[in-house]
Amino acid sequence: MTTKPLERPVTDTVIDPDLPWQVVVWNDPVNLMDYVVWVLRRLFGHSVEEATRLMLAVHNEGKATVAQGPREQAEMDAYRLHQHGLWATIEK
Amino acid sequence: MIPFLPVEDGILVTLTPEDLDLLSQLPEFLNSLGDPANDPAAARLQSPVYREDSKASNEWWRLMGDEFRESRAADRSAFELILEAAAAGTVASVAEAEAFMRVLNESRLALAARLGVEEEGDMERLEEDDRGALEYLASLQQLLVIALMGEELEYEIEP
Repeated sequence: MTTKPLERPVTDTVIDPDLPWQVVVWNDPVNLMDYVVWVLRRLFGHSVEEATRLMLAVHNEGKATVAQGPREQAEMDAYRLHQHGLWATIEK
Repeated sequence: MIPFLPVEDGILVTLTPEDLDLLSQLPEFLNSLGDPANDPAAARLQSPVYREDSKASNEWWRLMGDEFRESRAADRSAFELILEAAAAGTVASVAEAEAFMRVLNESRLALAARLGVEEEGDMERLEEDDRGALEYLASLQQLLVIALMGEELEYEIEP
């Protein structure tokens, strides 16, 4: 057991804890387009129009940010998306 | 016969012997998936959450693993209960129908990954039987989406 006082780790990057994390959904060849709309509506309460816009962005651009917020919330969103088989990642 | 019909208290599920023959194999298939390190089907169901940080991704999956196992096991139980009664027609609650949907989707993802489907266009290169099974499941899933959403979607897809 050490008796030395704990030192703060020295880093040269300053991470703003309030900076939002982005939840990104990626295109994949298996998930059905209508299913993706249904999942986005169910999980985030989007209108058909908004969920369809996001789904088409995933399809056409290869990915789309579907939610953002603090890390904990982003991780929970990622969990729910993965639970529904969507390929979701988190990034800052 | 309409496999999924919205009714007052959920979705009326009525499946043919052909549907049941294929669908009843899915829970066992999903339960038999191996380790994500050497089974692409299992890996597809544990895709990285932190894209450029495999350590953080692995940690996330380690932390969330129990919740995933429990929720997927519950979905598969709901799926099997619906199958048991679906020959004569059975009303699934919305929550049960959603569990049914997740199992259908998970099965398609795992099966496609097992068959090497990774990119757009890979599906077209599959053997006819394999492709047929995937398309059959996709068409059932599509009907369930429409039943749960209560409408058919209209949008244009860029070529």
